[in-house]
Amino acid sequence: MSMPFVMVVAMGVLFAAGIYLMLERSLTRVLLGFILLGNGANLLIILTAGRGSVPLTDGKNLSTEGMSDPLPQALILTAIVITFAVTAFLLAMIYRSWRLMRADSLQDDDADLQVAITKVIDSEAEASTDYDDTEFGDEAESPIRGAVDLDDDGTPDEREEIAAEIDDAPNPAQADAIAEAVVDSQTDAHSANEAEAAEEATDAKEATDADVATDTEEAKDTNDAKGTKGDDA
Amino acid sequence: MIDLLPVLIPLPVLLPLIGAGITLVLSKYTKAQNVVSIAILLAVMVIATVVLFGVDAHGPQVVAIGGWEPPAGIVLVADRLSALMLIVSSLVTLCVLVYALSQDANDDSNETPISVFNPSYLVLCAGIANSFLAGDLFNLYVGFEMFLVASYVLLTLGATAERIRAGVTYVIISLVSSVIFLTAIGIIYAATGTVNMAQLSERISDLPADVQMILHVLLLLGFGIKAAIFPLSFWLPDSYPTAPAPVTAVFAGLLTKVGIYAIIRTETLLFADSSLRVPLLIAAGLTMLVGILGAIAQSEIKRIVSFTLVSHIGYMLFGVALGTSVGLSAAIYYTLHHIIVQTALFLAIGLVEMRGGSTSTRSLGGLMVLSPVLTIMFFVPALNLSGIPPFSGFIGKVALFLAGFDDHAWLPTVLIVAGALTSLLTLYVIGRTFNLAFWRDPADVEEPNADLVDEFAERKKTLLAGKKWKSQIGVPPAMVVATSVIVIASIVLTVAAEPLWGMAERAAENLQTPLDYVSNVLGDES
Repeated sequence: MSMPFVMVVAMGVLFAAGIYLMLERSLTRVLLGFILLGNGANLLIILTAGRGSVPLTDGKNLSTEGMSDPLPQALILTAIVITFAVTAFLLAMIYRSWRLMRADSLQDDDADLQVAITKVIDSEAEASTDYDDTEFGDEAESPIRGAVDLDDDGTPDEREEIAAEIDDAPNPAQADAIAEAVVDSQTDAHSANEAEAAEEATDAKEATDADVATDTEEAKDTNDAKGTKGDDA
Repeated sequence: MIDLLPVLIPLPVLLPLIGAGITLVLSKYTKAQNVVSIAILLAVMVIATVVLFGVDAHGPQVVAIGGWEPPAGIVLVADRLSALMLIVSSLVTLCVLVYALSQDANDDSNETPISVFNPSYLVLCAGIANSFLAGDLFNLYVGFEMFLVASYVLLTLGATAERIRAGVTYVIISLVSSVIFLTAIGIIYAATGTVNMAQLSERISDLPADVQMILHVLLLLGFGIKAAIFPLSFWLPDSYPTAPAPVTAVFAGLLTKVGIYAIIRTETLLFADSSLRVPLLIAAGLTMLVGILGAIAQSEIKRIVSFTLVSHIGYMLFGVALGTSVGLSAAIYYTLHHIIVQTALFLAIGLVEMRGGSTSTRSLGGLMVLSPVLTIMFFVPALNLSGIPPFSGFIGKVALFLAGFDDHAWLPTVLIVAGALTSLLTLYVIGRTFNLAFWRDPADVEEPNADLVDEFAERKKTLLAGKKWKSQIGVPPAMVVATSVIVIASIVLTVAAEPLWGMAERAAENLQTPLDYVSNVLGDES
C-alpha cells in the first residue's frame, strides 16, 4: 500500500495542531482543536485505503483488480457524521456556558476548591485545640484559656478590652490617655524587667550606631531619651 | 429455540432505538412515553435472559447483520460474557428508569425536561447493548459513540450552570478518548486490513512486536479513559456527581464497566499473548489506592462514592491483568457485583438527597432515626462495596486474591496487599459517612438543616413520651421499590453465587480460547 506523502504530512499537522489547541483553557479553541483532531483521524482512515483509483467500476468489468478499498470509505462516512454531530453539541454547550457564566474558559470545580480550603481550616483548628502549648503562652495565634502571660501585656481578653476602649474613646486625646494609663500600669507592675530590657536595647542600638557611624546626633538623642525613660521607670 | 436466537440477538440494540424514535414522537404525552420506555426495557430484559440461557447451552451465537457475511459485513456476537453483561445492564437500566420517571413525576423543580430524557435514555441503552454485542472493532466504536452522545445529553439535562461546567469537562475528555480509539482503529486497519475482531485475533499476532505494542497501548488508552483507570480517572469524580441522581447511578454502574468490558475483550481476543501485564498490574494497584485516598478527603456523599467507584475499577483491572482463568472469572464476577452495588448506592444517595435536602455530610444527620428504610438501603450496598462477608464484594475480592496467589510472583502479591488495604479504607470511608450522615444528631452538624433538626427533636419527644411514631419515608414509593429491587439483586449475587461463579468461569473459559471465537465467527474459513 502506498500513501501520498503530502497527505500523510497534512495528517500529522492536523493531529499536532489539534492537540496543541485542545490543551488551551479557552473552550472555543478546544472546539477548534477537536475539529482538527477529528479530521486528522478521518484522514488517517481514508489514507489506509492507499492511493485512490477512478472509477470504482464501470458496471461491466467487475474484477476487483486496481479498485480502491471501499471499507475505509464506509468507516470514514460514519466517523465524519459522528464528529459532525458531536461538534454541533459541543458548540451548543459552549454557547450555553457563555450565556450562563460569561466565560469562554473551563471553570474550576467549586466542590474541589472547597475540599482544599476545608482541609486547611481543619488542620489549623486541630492545631489550636490539641497541640497549642505554653511555648508561646498567650501570644500564640489562638491561645488556650489561662495561658501564661509571658510579656506582661495582659491576657488576650484584657488586651481586647483595652483595644475596644481605645476605639470607643470619643476623641484622640482621650484615647491616648487610656493607652498611656495602660502602659503606666504595666510598667509599674513589672518595672525591673522593663528597665533591663530597655537598657539592653539601648546598648545594642548604640553599638550599631558606632559601627555604621552614619546616624545623626538626633537619632542618638532619641536613643538616650529611651534609655532615660527606662531608668526613670 | 436455537433457531430463535439469531433473531433475538439484535433486538437489545434495535428495540431501544425504535423506542427512542417512538418516545420522541410522543414527546407531548408523558404517560405514553413512560409506558413505551418501560415496556421496551422490560422486553430487552426478557430477551437478555433467553439469550443468556441459549448461549450457555448452545455456545456463542453469531449474527451477520443484513445477511452480509463476515469478514466484509458487520457481525453481532453473543457469548457468555456478552450475555451476562447484557442481562445485568438491562436489569439496572430498567430499575433506574422506573426510579427516574417517578422522581420526575414528583419533582416540581422543572429542572429535567422529561421529553428529552426518555429518548436519550433509550439510545444510551441501545449503545451499551451494541458495545456488548459488537463483533467488530468499528461497531464497538459506534456503540461507544451512541451511548456517549446520549450521556452528554443526560449529564447536562436542564443545562444549569453547574451541569454545564461538569459537562464540558466530561464531553471533552470523552471526545479525546473517542479520537484515540478511532485513530487506533485506523492504524489497525492499515496494519491488518480488517476491523473484524475474529480476523484481527489471527492477524495481529503476525505483526512485528513494536507495531503490536503501539496498537495495544492506543486501545488501552482509549478504553482506560472510559473505564477511569488511574491516571486517566481524574475526570470522573468531577463530572458524575452533578448530574441528576438516576443518571449518575446508571453512568457509575454501567459506563465505566463498558470500558472494562472492552478491555477484557481486546486483552483476551486481540492481544492474548500480551506483554503489557506489568504496567496494567501497576495501574490497577495505583487506581485502587489513589481512588480511595481521594474518597477520604471528600465530605459530599456523591463525591465520596464516585471516588470509591474509581478505586474499585482497580480490582477488575487486577483480574484482567492476571490473565489467568481464575483471574478472568473473578474480574467478570466482580464487574457484575460492582455494576449492581454501585447503582444501588447512587440510587440510595438520591433518596437521601430527596429526604434530607442535601448529600453533604456537613448538613445531614439523624437519618437512622428519621428514615430506617433509607438507612438499610444505603447500608447494605455500602457494606457490600467494602467487602464484608457474606456479601458478594467479599466473594469477588477473595476470588481475586486467590487468583493473585496462584501466580506465585511478587507483583500480584503486592497488589493483594494493596487490594486488602483499599478494602479496609473503603470500610473506613463508608463507616465515617454512615456515622456523620445517619447516626449524628442533626443539631450537631456543621451546617444544620432546620427541617431535619425540628423533625429529629419532635421524634425524640414522642419517643420519650412513650408514644408510637408513624415513620414517614418521605420519598415516592416507586423510587423506593426500584432501589429495593437493586439492593435485593445485590444480595441475590451472594445467594446465587455458585451458579453465577460457574457462569463466570465458563465465560472466562470462552475468553481463554480465542480460537473457538474465531471459528465461530468466520465459520469454515479458518
